[in-house]
Amino acid sequence: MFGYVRPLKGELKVSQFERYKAIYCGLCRSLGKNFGFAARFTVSYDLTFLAALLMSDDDSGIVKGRCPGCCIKKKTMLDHNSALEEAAVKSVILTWFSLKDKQADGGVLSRIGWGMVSLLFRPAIKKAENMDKDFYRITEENTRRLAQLEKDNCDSIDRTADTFASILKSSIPQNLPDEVKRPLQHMMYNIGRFIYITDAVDDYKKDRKTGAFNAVAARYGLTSDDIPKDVFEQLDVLMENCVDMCSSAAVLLQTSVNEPIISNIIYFGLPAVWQSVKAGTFNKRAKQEKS
Amino acid sequence: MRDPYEVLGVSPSASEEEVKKAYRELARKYHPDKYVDNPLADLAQEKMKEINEAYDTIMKGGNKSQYNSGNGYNRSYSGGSAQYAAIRSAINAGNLAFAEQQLMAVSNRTAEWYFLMGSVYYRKGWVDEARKHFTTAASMEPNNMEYRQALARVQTGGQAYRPAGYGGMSNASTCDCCSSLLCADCCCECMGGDLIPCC
Repeated sequence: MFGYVRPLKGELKVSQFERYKAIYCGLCRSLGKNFGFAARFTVSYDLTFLAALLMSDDDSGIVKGRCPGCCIKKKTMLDHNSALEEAAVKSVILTWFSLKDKQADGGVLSRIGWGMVSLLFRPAIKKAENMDKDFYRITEENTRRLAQLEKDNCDSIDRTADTFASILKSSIPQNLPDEVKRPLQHMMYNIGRFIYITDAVDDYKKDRKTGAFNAVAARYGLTSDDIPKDVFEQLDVLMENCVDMCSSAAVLLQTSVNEPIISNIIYFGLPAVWQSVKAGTFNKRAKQEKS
Repeated sequence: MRDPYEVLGVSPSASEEEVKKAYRELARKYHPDKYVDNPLADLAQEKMKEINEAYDTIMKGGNKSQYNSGNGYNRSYSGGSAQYAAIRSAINAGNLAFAEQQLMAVSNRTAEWYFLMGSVYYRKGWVDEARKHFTTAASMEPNNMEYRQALARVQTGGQAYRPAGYGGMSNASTCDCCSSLLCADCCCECMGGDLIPCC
């Protein structure tokens, strides 16, 4: 996943940040327990948000556990609960399809590399597919739909974003009551839109170099090296709307212990990530350039 | 019915002032203006009804709730030509797939067609397509207020509720002329007057 859906740390209270870390580590632990060690590498901020959103206040059991990334001190993490498990299954399935995508896009060497990585994930994805057949099917369908739209060089950014947004929308369990399910679906749809458009802006320069499809370039017919200012102004409106829609959904949900974290992500985290992606300072880029 | 104090999030020993304050904050959250063409408008309307009832129960009729929980949530697609009446009511009922299908079958695309298609897109969350369609509708019939309002709404954004302490996006401008006028109107309404009679 992308890591665009994250809190703005400076605006969280220490206790809220501790809880966020406990959810993140709990998700990683849940991935390890259910899908094996390799699945732990799929842990992401985006799915931590989903876990926080689905969690009820009863799911607050805390355990101390070891983190494979930092073995000296034990970390505080949330104990296994159904929200973490839901998010873990989604994490494995989403990573699987993004691996397949990378495998199809890259050159010979990277195909072999990604092929080996996906071999490692094979047992995990088999299990995840059996646990959540619907989500697997919807992800597969929408990935195929996106590939077709890319091939046709689709100039509607809403249409291409709809594929990923629909996938995230379907990450909300069907068995919830309507008045809870609908706001959650609405929120995840708009989170999906946000991620898709942000990613298109983040990858703009790389896609220009490689000649790959880019939803922003296709929508505005861009051929320049940088995205022009007036296009950013139009994209700003789309992003503000995503935040508005998330907000209109969030206020309809029952208050929970995770509410400050969710509000922080929606009102501070998303805008901050968007600004840094626009400025080209988002750390994903920095990491790529390092490697 | 849920405990009215619980609905408003105040303790049963709260003073009248505290109850009023909690009520006003909640009413601001679920106000119809924040849910124009939003697919969750019906849920917000339910919430508004619930807090209105809770407020009226606590105040025992002394001070009636001031916010309407009636039809303000559904922008009424009542005007326009007879040809589109069924499509307008489908949009009102949230039946977007049907409305879209019917619209796609129309070959003579008038300004109203572009407006209605834009409305379908907006409700689906397809804001860019909505903006394109509203722009076309407004340029075909520049004097139509319905089309112009729809276009203005889709171009501004940032109208949703923000809890206290959570500012908007850093580059969102809330200082344009229309917003200032609307703010002034809201202030007047709070004080019992009215600056812009139609809203």
